[in-house]
Amino acid sequence: MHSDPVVRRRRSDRFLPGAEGIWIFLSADAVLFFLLLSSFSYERSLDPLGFNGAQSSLIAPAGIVNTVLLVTSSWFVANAVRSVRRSDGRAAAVLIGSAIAAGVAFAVIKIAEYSVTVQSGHTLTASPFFMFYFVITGIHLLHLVAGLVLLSILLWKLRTDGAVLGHRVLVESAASYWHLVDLLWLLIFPILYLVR
Amino acid sequence: MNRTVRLRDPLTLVWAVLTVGTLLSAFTSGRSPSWSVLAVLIVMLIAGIKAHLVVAHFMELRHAPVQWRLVFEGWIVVNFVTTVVCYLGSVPR
Repeated sequence: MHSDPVVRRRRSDRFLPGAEGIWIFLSADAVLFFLLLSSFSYERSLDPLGFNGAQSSLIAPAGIVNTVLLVTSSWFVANAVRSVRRSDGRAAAVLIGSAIAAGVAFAVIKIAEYSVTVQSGHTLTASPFFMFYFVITGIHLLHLVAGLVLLSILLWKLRTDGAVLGHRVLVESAASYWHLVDLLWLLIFPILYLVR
Repeated sequence: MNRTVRLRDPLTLVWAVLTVGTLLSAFTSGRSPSWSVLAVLIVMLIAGIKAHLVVAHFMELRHAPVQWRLVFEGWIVVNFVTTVVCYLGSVPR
């Protein structure tokens, strides 16, 4: 599917983007979120009516917009990686900048959502559902902010140091981490907001 | 100047499916009554497909050594099964 000459491979050539160590970290992170989400699903099964009631206070449109923002952000990053492989630093910078903007928008909406939720009386200690909601989405938000820092460093290097185009592993590692942030949200959103 | 983005580009197609899938699952959930097993199965199936697309195409694991692909695709399946099993165990009779 990829017509990019750098990426085109014979079927026998497998490649892992970024450093292998990054993928061990990403796997561990994925396991952490599986434990959080499965704990939630299990606790929910013990008090489904209570959890459903609390869930109805969530602002689903915010979750929908945030999901679209994050998948769009990942799209920008995936295209940026392709630009870096083609040594097109200017296109990569624009794409990474766009990804950062979408990520910042996600964070702003998330914090606004927290604010409205807390002001309605649904705090972290209000109910088991909201404890899970704030902890799971909060840890995810911290991951997202760390990702924004990584992307910002990448953007700064792209704009000031042309040599970064030769550091494919660095770029791919940062991109893979960002895609994990997206991947995690793609499960968090339906499990917390939509399953009822 | 070369265009870096083409409409029929695989990455853009993936983005379109991810966006439509998001809207579809939100619509399905919103329009269904509570305790609709069918709605939950549809929502989780769409979530699984979206997650697979990110793993395979954005993370590029379709080109990766098979063990890494298994780890992440397997993670998606385990999340799906756990969520659905817990849900089915909680539906009021």
